[in-house]
Amino acid sequence: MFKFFDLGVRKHGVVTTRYPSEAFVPPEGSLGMPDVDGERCNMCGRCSDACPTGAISLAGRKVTVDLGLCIFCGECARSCADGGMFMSREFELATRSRGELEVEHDVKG
Amino acid sequence: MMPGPMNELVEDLPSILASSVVSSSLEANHLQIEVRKDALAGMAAHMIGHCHAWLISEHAADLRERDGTFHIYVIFALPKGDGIITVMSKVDGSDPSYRSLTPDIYAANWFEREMMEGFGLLPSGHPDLRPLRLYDSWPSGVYPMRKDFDPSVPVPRVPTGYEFRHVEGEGIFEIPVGPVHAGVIEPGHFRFSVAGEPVINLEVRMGYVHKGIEKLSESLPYPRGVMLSERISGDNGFTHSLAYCQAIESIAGADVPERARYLRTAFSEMERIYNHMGDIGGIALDTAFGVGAQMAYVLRERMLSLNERITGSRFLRSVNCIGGVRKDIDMSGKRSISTELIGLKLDFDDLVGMMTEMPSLLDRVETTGMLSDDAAKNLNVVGPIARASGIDRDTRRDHPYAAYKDLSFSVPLYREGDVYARMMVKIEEVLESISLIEQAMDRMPEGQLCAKVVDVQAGRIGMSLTETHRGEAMHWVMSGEGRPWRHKVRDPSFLNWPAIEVAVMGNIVPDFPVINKSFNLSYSGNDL
Amino acid sequence: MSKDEKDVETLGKELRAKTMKVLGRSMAIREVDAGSCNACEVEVNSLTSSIYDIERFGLHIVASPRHADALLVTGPVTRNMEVPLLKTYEAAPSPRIVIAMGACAISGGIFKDCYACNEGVSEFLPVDVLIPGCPPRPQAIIQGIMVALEKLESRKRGASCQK
Ligand code: SF4
Ligand code: SF4
Ligand code: SF4
Repeated sequence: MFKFFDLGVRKHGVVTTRYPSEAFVPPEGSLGMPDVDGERCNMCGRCSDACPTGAISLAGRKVTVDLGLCIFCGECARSCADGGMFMSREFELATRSRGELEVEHDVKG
Repeated sequence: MMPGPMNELVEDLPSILASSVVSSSLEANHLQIEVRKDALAGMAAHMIGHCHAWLISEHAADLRERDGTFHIYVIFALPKGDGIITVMSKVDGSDPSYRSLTPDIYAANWFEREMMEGFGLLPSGHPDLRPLRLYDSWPSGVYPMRKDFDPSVPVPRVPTGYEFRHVEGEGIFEIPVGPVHAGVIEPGHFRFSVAGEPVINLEVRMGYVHKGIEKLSESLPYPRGVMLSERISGDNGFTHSLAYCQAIESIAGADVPERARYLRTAFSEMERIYNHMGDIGGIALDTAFGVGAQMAYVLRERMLSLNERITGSRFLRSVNCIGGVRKDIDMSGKRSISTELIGLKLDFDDLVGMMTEMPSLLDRVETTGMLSDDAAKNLNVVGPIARASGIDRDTRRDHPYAAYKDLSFSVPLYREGDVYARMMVKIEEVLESISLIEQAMDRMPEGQLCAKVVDVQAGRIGMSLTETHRGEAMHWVMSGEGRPWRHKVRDPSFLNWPAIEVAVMGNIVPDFPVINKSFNLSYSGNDL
Repeated sequence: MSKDEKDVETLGKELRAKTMKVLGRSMAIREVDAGSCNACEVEVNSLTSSIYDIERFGLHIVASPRHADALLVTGPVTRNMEVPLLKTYEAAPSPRIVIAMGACAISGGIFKDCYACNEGVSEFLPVDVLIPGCPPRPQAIIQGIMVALEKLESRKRGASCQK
């Protein structure tokens, strides 16, 4: 009995993470929400061609990423030569409606 | 086996088989023999009975557009050396039937049922022609793997029946379990027949998560196929996508950079460790040893977050690409891997020490869920389950890929075939994996990460075997225009599921969860 | 007790207070795999490990839909899972909420063009909360459950207004 206590508690202390009372930041390079830098994007459409699930659409001066379709693969960011699309580390994305998952980004460049 | 003996193998065929050979060719370690359709079953039986080869796969491709026939491929691995044998037969499109292999080779059972419902190829003499995945409302005469099937047209639902095996007698009860289970596991249906406590028959019905991955893959360009193959069976996504990449690379004749080979090895082993931790934790949990289970889960979580720190993905996704890998491990990555592994090893030793000394745990796992080596051999099981039943097979050693050839490791082997043996195999494999990662980190040369693969010629066949944590996975690709013409995936679970029906026999129902956990098979990889 | 440990305590109390307020007891979640690739299952299993330990918030993963306040559905809903999914839903007492977890459950994800797949759970059930990801990391699932709790709270309020 004490052996377990020793191994489990005394040796490791509390292992439980503090999320959500404390913010959690995923490690660098982690594949979170694909995000658009409106200053750098030039609407070339490469990201949307590269996306395996067709989650990205371009219309007018807007890039729309549908997080409901996105599989967080990072293909879009890899295909974007101008730094417009990048993988953020954002993961708190749960919503109550399908519509809210379609994230619109205004493109200024 | 060297090329010499492989050629002799053809010369040594009994005359009746030799006369049925249409053509044969030898390329590196891969012998391809085309035989007439009526000799296919005889040839396959000869490979198993005389050459003691292992059945790897039996599958078909629809080539009616090209030569009016279906091609059936039966693939074997020779027991010694790296030799692969493919026996191929053409089956005329107007008469889609052939002699079943199942009466001679039990392991062909599910493969032939799969071809039956996918291609409408009738195996005459097959004892059990119930559908494997397309039961419940699938119309007869609709064969989704044929080329003239259009996946975008919805298939209507028609009422159909499915007959389970029945055991009858006084005091025998049936217990249906699933498809939705009590635990957080994938869906599948288990039907137990019990006489009192002991199980006298178990029938497993899979297919609930059948999605149509092989068909989908035929429409995806190669780079996207990598992403799909990462999601065939999520927890061994890396080794699956590795097999797919290697199959395409072998068609293109691509030369994967040395550094990428080492990285692939390291990532494969990282995947094995976190999965084995989960399995070991699962066994502890199902034997009511909560402390051990939690310790194992904590270790698994540490591996998952190590994966994320190194590659950006907890499941090592988006790492493989055709021609190499995308993620490098730099100096600081190496350092964090080695610190993590040292800590992991210490804590794992504690855990193992506890688990192997716990009488209450040992009492539950010893002699539970026995799979004898004979049964294992006949059922053609692979992976840790085979190695716990005395079958010395490991793809990493027998058909080396990535950098396994240059690294040293041993293959744990147990003979008991019970839950204990399977647990011990997994425990020892974790230690081997840790050492493999360390070796790979030490010896990894500098260099490129990914070779350019431009030209994947159409109409060629590429095949690759990899060892996932569940055993040997196969990806077989016949290339088309920029995408596979046919992509056959064979997850280790597909060979191992029938074995669980045997292992459960005679055990009591409450022991089923722990037996199932010690097998830990993938439903998704099986159902595709 | 160190400061950090105290944080965990307060956090637990807060979330617990929330579940108690909404449900008057802890919240029971039933996970249904409707055709996932099993990586989503690995992450749900991680939630019950001592690293994420959702039991500390009064959230339980239960064995039967009959005990469930919420269904956590993964996978694109394969043809063979349509009926079991609906049966599970019917077995859960109302008000029940449906959480679609992962790209597959939301839209079909990478499998949406397969012949034996549907395009997510919403074709069959009213979905209340969506958790994007492939798979969503454990923290993202916790956040999704918090959103679900808020939803349940508003729905209960709605129900009591009607009375
Ligand atoms: S994000 Fe990049 S790839 Fe996409 S449209 Fe903008 S510039 Fe082109
Ligand atoms: S991460 Fe992948 S799935 Fe998501 S938008 Fe980018 S390319 Fe598409
Ligand atoms: S969302 Fe991604 S991880 Fe989850 S089941 Fe679908 S493919 Fe697998």
